[in-house]
Amino acid sequence: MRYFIFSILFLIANSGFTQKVLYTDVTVHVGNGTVIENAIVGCDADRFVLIKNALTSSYKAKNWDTIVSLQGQHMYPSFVATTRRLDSLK
Amino acid sequence: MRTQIAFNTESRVVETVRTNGVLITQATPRGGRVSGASSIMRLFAWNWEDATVLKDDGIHINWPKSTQGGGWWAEPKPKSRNKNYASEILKLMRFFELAKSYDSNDTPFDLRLEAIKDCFVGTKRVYIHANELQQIHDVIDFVNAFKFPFPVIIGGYDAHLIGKKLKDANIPIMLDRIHGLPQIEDEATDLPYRIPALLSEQGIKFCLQGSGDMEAMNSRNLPFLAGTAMAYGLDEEAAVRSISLDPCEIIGIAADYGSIEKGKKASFFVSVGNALDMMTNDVTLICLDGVLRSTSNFQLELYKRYRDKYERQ
Repeated sequence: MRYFIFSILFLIANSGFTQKVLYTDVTVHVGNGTVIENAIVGCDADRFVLIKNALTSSYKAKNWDTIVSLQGQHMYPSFVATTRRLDSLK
Repeated sequence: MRTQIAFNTESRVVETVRTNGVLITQATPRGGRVSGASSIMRLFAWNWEDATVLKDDGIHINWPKSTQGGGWWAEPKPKSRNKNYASEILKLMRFFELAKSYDSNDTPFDLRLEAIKDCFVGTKRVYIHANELQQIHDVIDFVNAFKFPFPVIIGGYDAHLIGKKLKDANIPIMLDRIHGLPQIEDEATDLPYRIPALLSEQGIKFCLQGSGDMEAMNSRNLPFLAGTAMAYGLDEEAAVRSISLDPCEIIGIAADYGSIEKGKKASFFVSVGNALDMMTNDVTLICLDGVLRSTSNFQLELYKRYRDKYERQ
């Protein structure tokens, strides 16, 4: 079921139009040294527009095109591999 | 040499790196005294133009070795002083003095000096590869002499021994792969694992990176380097920071990447468990620049294919 939801989401995201997506029930490792349990994370096109704790904030479902529950999972910022020879030799 | 235009977006190795959560890389030139310019690249792209996040972010210098010899782990031999160390530094200093005084209006156009010129005004960083204590002392003197706005030490194995001096000089460290053996015979066997915590205690800005043998493949293990640092004294969120926001701040892309904060690019991934632990790193969703990406790779596909084969038998 999980893979089905992500597959649908993947198809929508790659279909050419931008949309507002809200991720809920996720533990966010912000990357700056803090962690937000039970967080809601909103994305509009290519930017984060909302990162809050669901216990202290609410949201209106009608404001979002898609809402995805990531119950029990962890969200991390993209990791960055510096100083890497990889792929430089084509 | 510029790595940007040689970046291979079709690499199959890349598939296995990004499915562990590594979505951005610094493609770095290798070899020689001044290797060339690195660039910051996305790991999902159609071509090198699409992949570029920041072109020519800095120039890489391989600082002369202060020692030589040492053998290898199976046949260790004593190290001896590099007799040419002073002359090699002098040669490097002269080259940078020439670059600093270079003006293309007065002298014939020189591509090498033109590339280095930006390091003095801060539009490019200066990445200096150095690990030994003597090297790091001399790199600090080199940086002070030329007043580079954004110097970075890559390697920094002995950096924890002179933390205050490095902090005063405001030079961040890109720490070499910590999954390694101690460099000196009488050092503690777990010292490489503890170096991140030692740097953090001294307030030195650092990030983890995995350069070394087979670094192309091993960069998929970057999250687990942070996991080891976490197991040996670094706080969990500091460990996450050491491979996300800290490297972005050091290479100069922190305005858009490195953390999940309002206004930044929606670049993140989701894991079922702790992404720093190879037993629980199970990526279910990848989003780079607001676009959801595939979480599969050819190794996973082969695993499923052969698992199904044996299940049918």
